[in-house]
Amino acid sequence: MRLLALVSCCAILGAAPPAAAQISVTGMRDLAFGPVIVGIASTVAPSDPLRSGRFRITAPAGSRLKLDFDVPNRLDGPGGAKLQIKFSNSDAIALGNAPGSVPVVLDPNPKAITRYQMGASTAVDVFLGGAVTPAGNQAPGDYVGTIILTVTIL
Amino acid sequence: MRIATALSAALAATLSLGAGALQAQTSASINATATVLSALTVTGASDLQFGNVTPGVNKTVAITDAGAGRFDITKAAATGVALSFTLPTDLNSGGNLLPIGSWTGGWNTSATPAGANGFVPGASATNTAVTAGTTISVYVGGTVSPAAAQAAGAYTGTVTMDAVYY
Repeated sequence: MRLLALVSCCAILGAAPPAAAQISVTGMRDLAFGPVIVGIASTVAPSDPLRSGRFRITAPAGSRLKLDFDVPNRLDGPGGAKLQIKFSNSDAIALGNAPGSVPVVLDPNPKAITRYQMGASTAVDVFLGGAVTPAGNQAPGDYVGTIILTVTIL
Repeated sequence: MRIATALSAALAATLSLGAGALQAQTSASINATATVLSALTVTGASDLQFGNVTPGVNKTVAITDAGAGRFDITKAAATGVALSFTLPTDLNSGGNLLPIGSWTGGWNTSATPAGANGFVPGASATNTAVTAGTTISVYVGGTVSPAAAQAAGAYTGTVTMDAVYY
């Protein structure tokens, strides 16, 4: 009888859904600097409602998350031109969807140790700002780079 | 007893695996984008010249007149610019003031005032249209109102135009 109980317990554990299905992250909005002028730095704050980048994470309430940002230090432009882009240690903000959630400032730089506690939230928006610095002889044109957010439930 | 121990170990292993599986991971990406524009340049190309004026008689220079002021702008293609002005209320000649009471303006993508898009210059910005070309000419006219006892002399003032992308 005790043997059967143990076997049943193992079966239940084995049938648990994969934890990967419990979290998701979606790129919702690009970090868009828009028109910038040669020789003049341009900054987008993470609180910018239109131009900041935005990811949405969903995870069970109470989850502890590890956020790893893979951010470029150059954007690619016409004819191989590069545009310098930088992120300060407060250029990311996470805001949960639970009532009373408080924005949490995060460091999006790759070596930062970034954790987020979901609390009562089941989704969190991560907003991202940054700064580009066109050189005085920067080639005009469109520049683009990729930002990747990897989320791990701890 | 031996069976129970073995099953306990199996259960412990299963629990351990379960804990490991909770460390789920997923990724997504967005782009960072920027469009670099060439710098705006503004050149004062022609002074606004009223020429000789008669005391007590207003004199107007229209934007299509030869005496109209002109600024030339070079910009990036497919952009619009916002124009704003710092305008004098008087022209000055050694402390004597000649009121300049009204202003007219027009911008055009070709170097002619004919067919220019009219506006009233002032501190409030006027947006040009987004134009494909890289040049805009801005014409400025105005009206001076010399008093009947206006002192004779050469009067000058400074008209400043600012242009920014919008």
